[in-house]
Amino acid sequence: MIAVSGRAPFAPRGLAPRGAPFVAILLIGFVLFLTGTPRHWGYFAAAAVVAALALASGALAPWERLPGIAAVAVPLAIVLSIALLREGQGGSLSGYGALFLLPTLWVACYGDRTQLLIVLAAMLVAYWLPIVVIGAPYYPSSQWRGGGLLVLIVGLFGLTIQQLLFDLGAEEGLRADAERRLREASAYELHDDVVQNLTVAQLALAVGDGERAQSAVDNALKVGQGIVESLLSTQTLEPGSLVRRDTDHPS
Amino acid sequence: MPPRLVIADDNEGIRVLLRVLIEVDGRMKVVGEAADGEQALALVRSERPDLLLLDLSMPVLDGLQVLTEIRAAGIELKTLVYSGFTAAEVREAALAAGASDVLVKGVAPETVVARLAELAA
Repeated sequence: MIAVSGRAPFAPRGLAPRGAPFVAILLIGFVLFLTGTPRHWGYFAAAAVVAALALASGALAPWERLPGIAAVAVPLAIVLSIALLREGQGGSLSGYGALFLLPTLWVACYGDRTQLLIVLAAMLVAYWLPIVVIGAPYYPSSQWRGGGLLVLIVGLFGLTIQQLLFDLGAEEGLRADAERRLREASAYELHDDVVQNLTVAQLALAVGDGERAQSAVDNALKVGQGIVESLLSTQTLEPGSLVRRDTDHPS
Repeated sequence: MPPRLVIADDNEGIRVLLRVLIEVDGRMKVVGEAADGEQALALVRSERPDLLLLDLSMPVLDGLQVLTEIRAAGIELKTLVYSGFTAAEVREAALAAGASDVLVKGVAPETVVARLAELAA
Protein backbone atom coordinates (compact mmCIF):
# COMPACT_ATOMS: atom_id res chain seq x y z
CA MET A 1 0.00 0.00 0.00
CA ILE A 2 2.77 2.43 0.84
CA ALA A 3 5.13 3.59 -1.85
CA VAL A 4 8.62 4.65 -0.94
CA SER A 5 8.67 7.49 -3.41
CA GLY A 6 7.07 10.71 -2.27
CA ARG A 7 7.78 12.64 -5.42
CA ALA A 8 4.76 11.79 -7.52
CA PRO A 9 1.81 11.06 -5.21
CA PHE A 10 -0.69 11.14 -8.09
CA ALA A 11 1.36 9.30 -10.69
CA PRO A 12 -1.11 7.13 -12.65
CA ARG A 13 0.85 3.95 -12.07
CA GLY A 14 -0.47 2.38 -8.87
CA LEU A 15 -2.68 5.34 -8.02
CA ALA A 16 -5.79 3.18 -7.60
CA PRO A 17 -4.33 0.81 -4.98
CA ARG A 18 -2.58 3.76 -3.32
CA GLY A 19 -5.66 5.92 -3.08
CA ALA A 20 -8.40 3.32 -2.59
CA PRO A 21 -8.03 2.89 1.21
CA PHE A 22 -8.05 6.65 1.72
CA VAL A 23 -11.08 7.19 -0.52
CA ALA A 24 -12.91 4.28 1.12
CA ILE A 25 -12.49 5.71 4.61
CA LEU A 26 -13.54 9.16 3.40
CA LEU A 27 -16.66 7.61 1.86
CA ILE A 28 -17.43 5.84 5.12
CA GLY A 29 -17.22 9.24 6.80
CA PHE A 30 -19.79 10.65 4.37
CA VAL A 31 -22.09 7.64 4.81
CA LEU A 32 -21.92 7.95 8.60
CA PHE A 33 -23.31 11.48 8.24
CA LEU A 34 -26.71 9.78 7.92
CA THR A 35 -26.38 8.28 11.39
CA GLY A 36 -25.85 11.50 13.35
CA THR A 37 -27.56 14.77 14.14
CA PRO A 38 -27.83 17.62 13.42
CA ARG A 39 -27.69 17.25 9.65
CA HIS A 40 -27.02 20.48 7.78
CA TRP A 41 -27.31 19.19 4.25
CA GLY A 42 -25.88 22.34 2.72
CA TYR A 43 -22.53 21.71 4.42
CA PHE A 44 -22.75 18.03 3.52
CA ALA A 45 -23.31 18.88 -0.13
CA ALA A 46 -20.49 21.41 -0.11
CA ALA A 47 -18.19 18.86 1.53
CA ALA A 48 -19.16 16.22 -1.05
CA VAL A 49 -18.53 18.60 -3.98
CA VAL A 50 -15.14 19.68 -2.65
CA ALA A 51 -14.13 16.04 -1.99
CA ALA A 52 -15.30 14.95 -5.44
CA LEU A 53 -13.41 17.78 -7.13
CA ALA A 54 -10.29 16.98 -5.10
CA LEU A 55 -10.41 13.29 -5.95
CA ALA A 56 -11.13 13.97 -9.62
CA SER A 57 -8.24 16.39 -9.87
CA GLY A 58 -6.02 13.89 -8.08
CA ALA A 59 -6.80 11.31 -10.74
CA LEU A 60 -7.02 13.51 -13.81
CA ALA A 61 -4.87 16.65 -13.43
CA PRO A 62 -1.64 16.77 -15.47
CA TRP A 63 0.57 16.52 -12.40
CA GLU A 64 3.71 15.80 -14.42
CA ARG A 65 3.48 19.29 -15.91
CA LEU A 66 2.76 21.03 -12.59
CA PRO A 67 5.28 21.95 -9.92
CA GLY A 68 5.65 19.26 -7.25
CA ILE A 69 4.20 21.44 -4.51
CA ALA A 70 0.90 21.64 -6.45
CA ALA A 71 0.14 18.09 -5.33
CA VAL A 72 -0.60 19.44 -1.86
CA ALA A 73 -3.78 21.04 -3.24
CA VAL A 74 -5.63 17.72 -3.12
CA PRO A 75 -5.04 16.92 0.57
CA LEU A 76 -5.71 20.57 1.40
CA ALA A 77 -9.08 20.33 -0.36
CA ILE A 78 -9.82 17.16 1.58
CA VAL A 79 -9.06 19.03 4.81
CA LEU A 80 -11.60 21.66 3.72
CA SER A 81 -14.12 18.96 2.84
CA ILE A 82 -13.77 17.31 6.24
CA ALA A 83 -14.08 20.70 7.97
CA LEU A 84 -17.37 21.30 6.09
CA LEU A 85 -18.61 17.80 6.91
CA ARG A 86 -17.72 18.39 10.54
CA GLU A 87 -19.52 21.72 10.55
CA GLY A 88 -22.57 20.04 8.99
CA GLN A 89 -22.91 17.71 11.93
CA GLY A 90 -22.32 19.77 15.00
CA GLY A 91 -18.65 20.72 14.83
CA SER A 92 -16.37 19.21 17.43
CA LEU A 93 -19.19 16.99 18.71
CA SER A 94 -19.50 15.25 15.31
CA GLY A 95 -16.52 12.98 15.83
CA TYR A 96 -15.24 13.85 12.37
CA GLY A 97 -11.98 15.28 13.68
CA ALA A 98 -10.41 11.84 13.24
CA LEU A 99 -10.90 12.13 9.48
CA PHE A 100 -8.24 14.88 9.41
CA LEU A 101 -5.74 12.04 9.81
CA LEU A 102 -6.50 10.90 6.25
CA PRO A 103 -4.93 13.77 4.27
CA THR A 104 -2.08 13.91 6.79
CA LEU A 105 -1.35 10.22 6.42
CA TRP A 106 -1.49 10.61 2.62
CA VAL A 107 1.18 13.29 2.52
CA ALA A 108 3.19 11.40 5.14
CA CYS A 109 3.26 8.38 2.83
CA TYR A 110 3.38 9.99 -0.59
CA GLY A 111 4.31 13.64 -0.15
CA ASP A 112 7.39 15.47 0.98
CA ARG A 113 8.15 17.26 4.23
CA THR A 114 6.97 20.65 2.99
CA GLN A 115 3.63 19.22 1.92
CA LEU A 116 3.26 17.52 5.29
CA LEU A 117 3.90 20.77 7.16
CA ILE A 118 1.40 22.61 4.95
CA VAL A 119 -1.31 20.01 5.58
CA LEU A 120 -0.57 20.02 9.31
CA ALA A 121 -0.94 23.80 9.32
CA ALA A 122 -4.24 23.49 7.45
CA MET A 123 -5.42 20.90 9.97
CA LEU A 124 -4.56 23.28 12.79
CA VAL A 125 -6.50 26.05 11.08
CA ALA A 126 -9.45 23.68 10.60
CA TYR A 127 -9.43 22.98 14.33
CA TRP A 128 -8.83 26.50 15.62
CA LEU A 129 -10.54 28.84 13.17
CA PRO A 130 -14.09 27.66 14.06
CA ILE A 131 -13.32 28.30 17.75
CA VAL A 132 -12.67 31.94 16.86
CA VAL A 133 -15.39 32.37 14.25
CA ILE A 134 -18.18 30.20 15.67
CA GLY A 135 -17.15 29.26 19.20
CA ALA A 136 -19.03 27.23 21.83
CA PRO A 137 -21.05 25.09 22.09
CA TYR A 138 -20.08 23.52 18.72
CA TYR A 139 -16.46 24.52 19.04
CA PRO A 140 -15.58 24.87 22.74
CA SER A 141 -12.35 26.48 23.82
CA SER A 142 -11.02 23.07 24.90
CA GLN A 143 -10.44 22.49 21.18
CA TRP A 144 -7.47 24.86 21.35
CA ARG A 145 -5.69 22.29 23.45
CA GLY A 146 -7.24 19.20 21.82
CA GLY A 147 -6.61 20.34 18.26
CA GLY A 148 -3.11 21.56 19.03
CA LEU A 149 -2.09 18.32 20.70
CA LEU A 150 -3.64 16.22 17.93
CA VAL A 151 -1.73 18.15 15.27
CA LEU A 152 1.50 17.73 17.21
CA ILE A 153 0.97 13.98 17.59
CA VAL A 154 -0.08 13.51 13.97
CA GLY A 155 2.89 15.63 12.90
CA LEU A 156 5.20 13.33 14.87
CA PHE A 157 3.67 10.28 13.22
CA GLY A 158 3.88 11.90 9.80
CA LEU A 159 7.51 12.90 10.13
CA THR A 160 8.39 9.46 11.48
CA ILE A 161 6.64 7.75 8.58
CA GLN A 162 8.44 9.98 6.08
CA GLN A 163 11.81 9.28 7.71
CA LEU A 164 11.17 5.52 7.72
CA LEU A 165 10.16 5.59 4.07
CA PHE A 166 13.21 7.67 3.22
CA ASP A 167 15.48 5.17 5.02
CA LEU A 168 13.75 2.30 3.26
CA GLY A 169 14.24 4.01 -0.09
CA ALA A 170 17.91 4.63 0.68
CA GLU A 171 18.41 0.96 1.64
CA GLU A 172 16.63 -0.15 -1.51
CA GLY A 173 18.90 2.13 -3.53
CA LEU A 174 22.01 0.67 -1.92
CA ARG A 175 20.78 -2.89 -2.53
CA ALA A 176 19.99 -2.12 -6.17
CA ASP A 177 23.40 -0.51 -6.58
CA ALA A 178 25.15 -3.55 -5.06
CA GLU A 179 23.18 -5.86 -7.37
CA ARG A 180 24.08 -3.75 -10.39
CA ARG A 181 27.78 -3.81 -9.45
CA LEU A 182 27.69 -7.58 -9.00
CA ARG A 183 25.98 -8.01 -12.36
CA GLU A 184 28.50 -5.70 -14.03
CA ALA A 185 31.41 -7.55 -12.44
CA SER A 186 30.06 -10.89 -13.65
CA ALA A 187 29.40 -9.55 -17.14
CA TYR A 188 32.88 -8.01 -17.18
CA GLU A 189 34.56 -11.30 -16.29
CA LEU A 190 32.56 -13.23 -18.88
CA HIS A 191 33.17 -10.59 -21.56
CA ASP A 192 36.86 -10.69 -20.83
CA ASP A 193 36.95 -14.50 -21.07
CA VAL A 194 35.20 -14.54 -24.44
CA VAL A 195 37.29 -11.75 -25.96
CA GLN A 196 40.58 -13.17 -24.68
CA ASN A 197 39.85 -16.61 -26.08
CA LEU A 198 38.73 -15.31 -29.46
CA THR A 199 41.77 -13.06 -29.65
CA VAL A 200 44.02 -16.04 -28.93
CA ALA A 201 42.21 -17.97 -31.67
CA GLN A 202 42.68 -15.12 -34.12
CA LEU A 203 46.38 -14.75 -33.32
CA ALA A 204 46.89 -18.51 -33.43
CA LEU A 205 45.37 -18.66 -36.90
CA ALA A 206 47.65 -15.82 -37.96
CA VAL A 207 50.72 -17.80 -36.91
CA GLY A 208 49.33 -21.06 -38.32
CA ASP A 209 48.69 -22.75 -34.96
CA GLY A 210 45.36 -24.40 -35.77
CA GLU A 211 45.31 -26.59 -32.67
CA ARG A 212 45.63 -23.64 -30.32
CA ALA A 213 43.03 -21.70 -32.32
CA GLN A 214 40.57 -24.59 -32.04
CA SER A 215 41.15 -24.88 -28.30
CA ALA A 216 40.59 -21.15 -27.80
CA VAL A 217 37.41 -21.20 -29.84
CA ASP A 218 36.17 -24.13 -27.76
CA ASN A 219 36.87 -22.17 -24.58
CA ALA A 220 35.09 -19.09 -25.95
CA LEU A 221 32.14 -21.25 -26.90
CA LYS A 222 31.88 -22.64 -23.36
CA VAL A 223 31.95 -19.15 -21.87
CA GLY A 224 29.45 -17.91 -24.45
CA GLN A 225 27.11 -20.77 -23.68
CA GLY A 226 27.38 -19.93 -19.99
CA ILE A 227 26.39 -16.34 -20.70
CA VAL A 228 23.45 -17.31 -22.86
CA GLU A 229 22.21 -19.93 -20.42
CA SER A 230 22.36 -17.46 -17.55
CA LEU A 231 20.33 -15.02 -19.66
CA LEU A 232 17.81 -17.71 -20.54
CA SER A 233 17.53 -18.88 -16.92
CA THR A 234 17.52 -22.51 -18.01
CA GLN A 235 17.26 -23.56 -14.36
CA THR A 236 13.54 -22.87 -14.74
CA LEU A 237 13.27 -24.24 -18.27
CA GLU A 238 9.78 -25.32 -19.24
CA PRO A 239 8.49 -27.08 -22.38
CA GLY A 240 8.12 -24.46 -25.09
CA SER A 241 10.69 -22.05 -23.61
CA LEU A 242 13.12 -22.76 -26.43
CA VAL A 243 10.71 -22.29 -29.33
CA ARG A 244 12.33 -19.81 -31.71
CA ARG A 245 10.32 -16.71 -32.49
CA ASP A 246 12.67 -15.62 -35.25
CA THR A 247 13.34 -17.96 -38.19
CA ASP A 248 15.82 -15.67 -39.93
CA HIS A 249 18.77 -17.11 -38.03
CA PRO A 250 19.56 -20.80 -38.32
CA SER A 251 20.22 -22.66 -35.04
CA MET B 1 68.57 -1.15 -34.30
CA PRO B 2 64.86 -2.06 -34.33
CA PRO B 3 62.45 -0.36 -31.93
CA ARG B 4 62.16 -2.17 -28.59
CA LEU B 5 58.74 -3.35 -27.44
CA VAL B 6 57.16 -4.61 -24.21
CA ILE B 7 53.95 -6.65 -24.38
CA ALA B 8 51.63 -6.39 -21.36
CA ASP B 9 48.63 -8.71 -21.30
CA ASP B 10 47.42 -11.06 -18.58
CA ASN B 11 46.63 -13.75 -21.16
CA GLU B 12 49.73 -15.80 -21.80
CA GLY B 13 48.44 -17.08 -25.15
CA ILE B 14 48.00 -13.55 -26.45
CA ARG B 15 51.47 -12.53 -25.28
CA VAL B 16 53.18 -15.55 -26.80
CA LEU B 17 51.35 -15.35 -30.14
CA LEU B 18 51.89 -11.59 -30.46
CA ARG B 19 55.58 -12.09 -29.79
CA VAL B 20 55.74 -14.71 -32.56
CA LEU B 21 53.91 -12.43 -34.99
CA ILE B 22 56.11 -9.46 -34.19
CA GLU B 23 59.32 -11.45 -34.39
CA VAL B 24 58.26 -12.96 -37.71
CA ASP B 25 57.48 -9.45 -38.97
CA GLY B 26 60.98 -8.40 -37.95
CA ARG B 27 60.47 -4.65 -37.71
CA MET B 28 60.51 -4.59 -33.86
CA LYS B 29 62.21 -6.44 -31.05
CA VAL B 30 60.21 -7.73 -28.07
CA VAL B 31 62.28 -7.04 -24.95
CA GLY B 32 59.79 -8.15 -22.31
CA GLU B 33 56.39 -9.59 -21.46
CA ALA B 34 54.27 -8.58 -18.49
CA ALA B 35 51.33 -10.51 -17.09
CA ASP B 36 50.01 -7.65 -14.95
CA GLY B 37 50.18 -3.89 -14.65
CA GLU B 38 52.86 -3.88 -11.99
CA GLN B 39 55.18 -6.07 -14.08
CA ALA B 40 54.50 -3.81 -17.07
CA LEU B 41 55.59 -0.75 -15.11
CA ALA B 42 58.69 -2.51 -13.83
CA LEU B 43 59.66 -3.55 -17.37
CA VAL B 44 59.07 -0.04 -18.71
CA ARG B 45 61.32 1.37 -16.00
CA SER B 46 64.07 -1.24 -16.42
CA GLU B 47 64.04 -1.79 -20.18
CA ARG B 48 63.10 1.73 -21.31
CA PRO B 49 61.35 0.37 -24.46
CA ASP B 50 60.25 2.55 -27.36
CA LEU B 51 56.83 0.89 -27.46
CA LEU B 52 54.37 -0.66 -25.06
CA LEU B 53 51.50 -2.86 -26.21
CA LEU B 54 49.11 -2.64 -23.29
CA ASP B 55 45.98 -4.54 -22.30
CA LEU B 56 43.56 -2.60 -20.10
CA SER B 57 42.11 -5.34 -17.94
CA MET B 58 44.95 -6.84 -15.93
CA PRO B 59 45.64 -7.91 -12.34
CA VAL B 60 47.31 -5.66 -9.75
CA LEU B 61 47.22 -2.50 -11.87
CA ASP B 62 44.99 -2.01 -14.88
CA GLY B 63 46.12 -0.44 -18.12
CA LEU B 64 44.79 3.00 -17.26
CA GLN B 65 46.77 2.98 -14.01
CA VAL B 66 49.89 1.95 -15.90
CA LEU B 67 49.40 4.82 -18.35
CA THR B 68 48.90 7.27 -15.48
CA GLU B 69 52.06 6.03 -13.71
CA ILE B 70 54.10 6.27 -16.90
CA ARG B 71 52.97 9.82 -17.46
CA ALA B 72 53.62 10.76 -13.82
CA ALA B 73 57.14 9.31 -14.08
CA GLY B 74 57.78 11.37 -17.21
CA ILE B 75 58.74 8.30 -19.24
CA GLU B 76 58.63 8.88 -22.99
CA LEU B 77 57.29 5.96 -25.01
CA LYS B 78 54.51 5.19 -27.45
CA THR B 79 51.73 3.05 -26.05
CA LEU B 80 49.26 1.08 -28.10
CA VAL B 81 46.31 -0.02 -26.01
CA TYR B 82 44.98 -3.40 -27.16
CA SER B 83 41.77 -4.12 -25.33
CA GLY B 84 38.53 -6.07 -25.58
CA PHE B 85 36.47 -3.05 -24.64
CA THR B 86 34.67 -1.44 -27.53
CA ALA B 87 32.97 1.43 -25.66
CA ALA B 88 33.94 4.90 -26.84
CA GLU B 89 34.35 5.98 -23.20
CA VAL B 90 37.11 3.39 -22.72
CA ARG B 91 38.94 4.62 -25.81
CA GLU B 92 38.62 8.24 -24.68
CA ALA B 93 39.85 7.37 -21.18
CA ALA B 94 42.88 5.55 -22.57
CA LEU B 95 43.79 8.39 -24.93
CA ALA B 96 43.30 10.92 -22.14
CA ALA B 97 45.60 8.87 -19.88
CA GLY B 98 48.36 9.06 -22.49
CA ALA B 99 47.84 6.17 -24.92
CA SER B 100 49.08 6.85 -28.44
CA ASP B 101 46.27 4.80 -29.96
CA VAL B 102 43.69 2.17 -29.08
CA LEU B 103 42.92 -1.03 -30.97
CA VAL B 104 40.07 -3.32 -30.04
CA LYS B 105 40.83 -7.02 -29.75
CA GLY B 106 39.31 -8.60 -32.80
CA VAL B 107 41.08 -6.45 -35.38
CA ALA B 108 43.27 -8.39 -37.78
CA PRO B 109 46.60 -9.34 -36.12
CA GLU B 110 48.43 -7.77 -39.08
CA THR B 111 46.79 -4.45 -38.18
CA VAL B 112 48.20 -4.63 -34.66
CA VAL B 113 51.71 -5.27 -35.93
CA ALA B 114 51.39 -2.59 -38.61
CA ARG B 115 50.10 0.02 -36.12
CA LEU B 116 52.96 -0.73 -33.73
CA ALA B 117 55.41 -0.29 -36.57
CA GLU B 118 53.82 3.01 -37.54
CA LEU B 119 54.03 4.30 -33.97
CA ALA B 120 57.66 3.26 -33.79
CA ALA B 121 58.54 5.02 -37.03
